[in-house]
Amino acid sequence: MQHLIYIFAIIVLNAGLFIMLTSDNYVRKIIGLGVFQSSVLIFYISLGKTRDGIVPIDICQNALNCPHIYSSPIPHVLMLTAIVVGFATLSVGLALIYQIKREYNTVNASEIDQRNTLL
Amino acid sequence: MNILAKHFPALQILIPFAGALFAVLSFNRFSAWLIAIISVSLSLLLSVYAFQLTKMNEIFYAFGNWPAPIGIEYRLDHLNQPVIIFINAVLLFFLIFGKELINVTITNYIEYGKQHIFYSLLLFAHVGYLGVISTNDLFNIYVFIEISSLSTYVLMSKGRSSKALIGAFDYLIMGTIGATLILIGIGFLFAITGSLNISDVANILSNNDNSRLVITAVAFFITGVILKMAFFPMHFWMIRSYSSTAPFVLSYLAAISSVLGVYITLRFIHFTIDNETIINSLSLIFRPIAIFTIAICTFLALKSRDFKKVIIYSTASQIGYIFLLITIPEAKRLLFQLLIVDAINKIALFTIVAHIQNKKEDLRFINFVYIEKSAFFKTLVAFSLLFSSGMPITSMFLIKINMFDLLISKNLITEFIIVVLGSILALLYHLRLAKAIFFSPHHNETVKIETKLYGLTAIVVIQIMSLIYMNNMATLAGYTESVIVN
Repeated sequence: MQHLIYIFAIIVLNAGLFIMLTSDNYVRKIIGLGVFQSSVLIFYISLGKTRDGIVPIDICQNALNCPHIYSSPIPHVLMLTAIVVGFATLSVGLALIYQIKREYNTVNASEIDQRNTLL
Repeated sequence: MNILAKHFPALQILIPFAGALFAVLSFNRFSAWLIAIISVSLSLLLSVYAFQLTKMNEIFYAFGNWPAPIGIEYRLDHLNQPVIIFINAVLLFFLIFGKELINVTITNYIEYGKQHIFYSLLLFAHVGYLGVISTNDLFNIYVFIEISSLSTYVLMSKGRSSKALIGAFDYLIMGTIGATLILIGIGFLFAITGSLNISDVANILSNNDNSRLVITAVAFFITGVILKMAFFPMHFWMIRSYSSTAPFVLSYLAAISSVLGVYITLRFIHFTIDNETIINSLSLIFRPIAIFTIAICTFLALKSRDFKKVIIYSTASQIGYIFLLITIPEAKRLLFQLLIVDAINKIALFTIVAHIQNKKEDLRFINFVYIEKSAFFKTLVAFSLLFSSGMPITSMFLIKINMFDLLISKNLITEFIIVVLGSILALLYHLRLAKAIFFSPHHNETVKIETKLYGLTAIVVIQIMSLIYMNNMATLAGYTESVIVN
């Protein structure tokens, strides 16, 4: 049962990859990219969780023999950065899509391909 | 000077970063260019000075005074300091000699009032590259890769044709998948060791034998790097996005990206994993892929009907040679020579494309432009085609000969045959390029190259000099080799 979360992460990863590679619409591709990147968040954060681990705030004031077990805070911090990076990628992607829409008046990959080969 | 000496690892990255921010605020194409020049040359000076320091010993720099396993650490040694100098030099060259071409082929197609952003993006990409190279922290590598790629996506989206947007979007999708796979690989290493510091991870990995997880981590990481580098099975996006974007940007990006990919691979394999069995099995996987890359990309270069596409396929096939050399442990010296010479050749070829495409967008061979007069341009083109084709008595030729010698001595017969064939076919497609430029029929559209040729002249001079300084390059590569062996 403890591996369930990793299987969940793999499912999310594959779902994102599937959406990205099969859809024709650029906006859907970007959505797929977002889903794909979220799987990494699940993966990392589940790495930091320990059984009965609580929020990593120092309750015992650095005392020895502390009865509490903390979850590791490092993956959370790392994922904070990864979320920001994902957000930045999303914005750059959407900006590109906006430009594509202005140039071609469509966001459909196959339509644009067709038009480019005609040119 | 004392403070400079103490904090140079951070400063050589922060100066271009500050330059990028100032360039955004400059609101003027010329002042942004000036800021870029100043910050890159400062960074270059600093990195040359730092190279003297790293000669004596490796330098570890802890950010915010947090010592290594906890905080982020930079590590400068003989492997990365020359790479930093190289990257700074390439950008400085690009900025100084390419000013006119940048204006004509790129910034003129950006809305007035937003043109200075180009330089700022260039500097952000540069910061990303420098960061990837100097850091000793796995997660930091990912962050810097993303910084550089985010700016590269935008850089590639600008150009004469609107196809560049589609190419950039493809690149964004594939690049982000690659970077995410790298991140997953790093996650597995973090799961095994609980540390992100490369030296620390290597230490812990050498003590415990958890090889299945390590193999998973390596698999993810290497797949990501291959995707980002556009190595054979994943090369399709590179062909698409490179063929639509402004060629002059490529003369910078193509020169840097292969160096960077090799650096990341070496840093990861030799410094982080450093496991004999894994390295051996990786070379068994890499070698056939490298051979396929050389064979297929050379073939496609011969088949392609577009001047620019030939050069792009030749770039892709060079990645094959580079990866073939990575798999051979004795070839490190040759690898570094090949990387430098190849980067110089790529800059020259893409600059030529930029000069021609500035006049006419369509570069297909059937209606390739007839270039009138411009004798000096043609002479330069002749020289640089000669050098990049690997004809006898060029630096590429010497490298190829050494490569044949090495492959024979290592008893790699199939590889030897493919490399020989690939080199001969490379001559043929360079012949096609030369034919298009020198013997295009008169009734095709006639153009005259009016853009100034400083950049092309300089790069051809560098190509010729690379022949003379072959041995010095080998000495430099020897330094870096000693780092890897130790």
